[in-house]
Amino acid sequence: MKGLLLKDWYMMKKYCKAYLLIAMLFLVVSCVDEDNFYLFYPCLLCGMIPVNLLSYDERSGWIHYSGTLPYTKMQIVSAKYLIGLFSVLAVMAVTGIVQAVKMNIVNGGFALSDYIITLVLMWVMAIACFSLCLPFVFLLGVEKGRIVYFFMIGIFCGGIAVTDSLPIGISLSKFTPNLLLSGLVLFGIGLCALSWYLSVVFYRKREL
Amino acid sequence: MNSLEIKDLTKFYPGFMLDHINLTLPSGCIMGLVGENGAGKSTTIKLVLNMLRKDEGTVTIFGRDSSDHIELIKEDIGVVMDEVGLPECLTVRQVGEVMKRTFKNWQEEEYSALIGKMSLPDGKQFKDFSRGMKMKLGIAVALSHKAKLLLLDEPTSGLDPVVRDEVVTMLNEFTRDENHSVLISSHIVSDLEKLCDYITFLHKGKLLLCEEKDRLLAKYGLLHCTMEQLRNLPPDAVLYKKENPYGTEALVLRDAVPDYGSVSPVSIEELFVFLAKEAV
Repeated sequence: MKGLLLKDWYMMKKYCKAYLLIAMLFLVVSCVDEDNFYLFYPCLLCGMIPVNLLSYDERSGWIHYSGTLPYTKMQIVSAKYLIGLFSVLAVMAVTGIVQAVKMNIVNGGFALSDYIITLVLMWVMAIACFSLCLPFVFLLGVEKGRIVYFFMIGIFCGGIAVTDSLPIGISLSKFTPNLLLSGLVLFGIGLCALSWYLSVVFYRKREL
Repeated sequence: MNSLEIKDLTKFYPGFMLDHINLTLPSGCIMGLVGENGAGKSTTIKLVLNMLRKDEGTVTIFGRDSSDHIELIKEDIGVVMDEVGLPECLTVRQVGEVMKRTFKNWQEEEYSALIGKMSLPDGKQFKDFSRGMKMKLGIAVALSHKAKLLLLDEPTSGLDPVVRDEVVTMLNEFTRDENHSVLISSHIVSDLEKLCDYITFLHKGKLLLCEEKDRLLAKYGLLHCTMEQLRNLPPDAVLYKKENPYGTEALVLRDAVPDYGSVSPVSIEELFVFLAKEAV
């Protein structure tokens, strides 16, 4: 599977430079804006990297060519999920630093619980972004899978509206944060695992 | 030992059926899969590689059922598809790095030597290659991991005669090793005629014939005669006839024709055209 990951890495270096610039721009804007949208957007953006890489794979004919190589369909699917997870972690590391700075400067003080909840929320949303899309893309191909992508954008915007209606300083006692965090983390892991399983099943059924 | 055995391979599509295909490719041989566009050549190759699900039949590669861990068998198969399919942004060097981590038997030196021999630019992206260069890179990859069987789907279509000749030369070199075999599909029959030991004709999803090329050429001939002369031949001898104002041209079985002296050799292309018309 190393070959698949390396191929995707080369493609990310080539095609995802614009993503990096946009993500940086949004992170800078988020520092001077109280709105969480700008902070969440880079994670959402990198959550879509696996789908975009699949789009390039389909255009170049790699989808068919990979079927001639000594890889199982499970390995081909898993490579895309690993790329998604690595991308999300990389962007979250940067976003985490920006969020800490923002809380200190804009929000007037660093609260660990708020910080962790915000990061976990970002992680879940980014995971959800590709986890909800990829099974459909592996089943139907990128073009039809894009319809689901736009549906996901709608859900994201709705999610942001709900998050924004909550005060940034969420009280730990009000929301039993340990339970909330555990629930979110489990939801993220469960969603990703279920999505991966469905993608493998769907891709095995798909004829190349 | 046979490199490839296909028995009763069948695939149903709405409006098309690959109909109980049987063929055997012995080790050390090159088999040409001839057929018009849509005859089922690519479908056959994809079914061999398990890229499509077969509805009936079996495929055995190097004595192993292809349904059983095909990814392991693919280590020994080099494939070049019509559109090659390498990522557009990758350079020759990057393709080599990816394939080094894909094939257990990847031979970096062999790859570099082939790239040099084919004069492929190292730093140029795949999307900037001409069709001929793309095909050459696909072939270089297929030849650089100690493959014992090459499956080539229309590797010469859209190439100029010089590049086509280079491709034919490379494949000839590959089959100097008696353990190496090639299944090559094309509708450019002249290329296959130069290259192949066996010829398989596919027409509208059906197998018209699968035989050694030399036996085919010895078995069939073209007879140029008058209609009256043709009527005097045994009916079984004439497979197809074509009339024109200057006489009649017929595809005949050489052995069944009395010595008219005018039975001329038939090319594989003429044979295919005649047999395809007869099958309509």
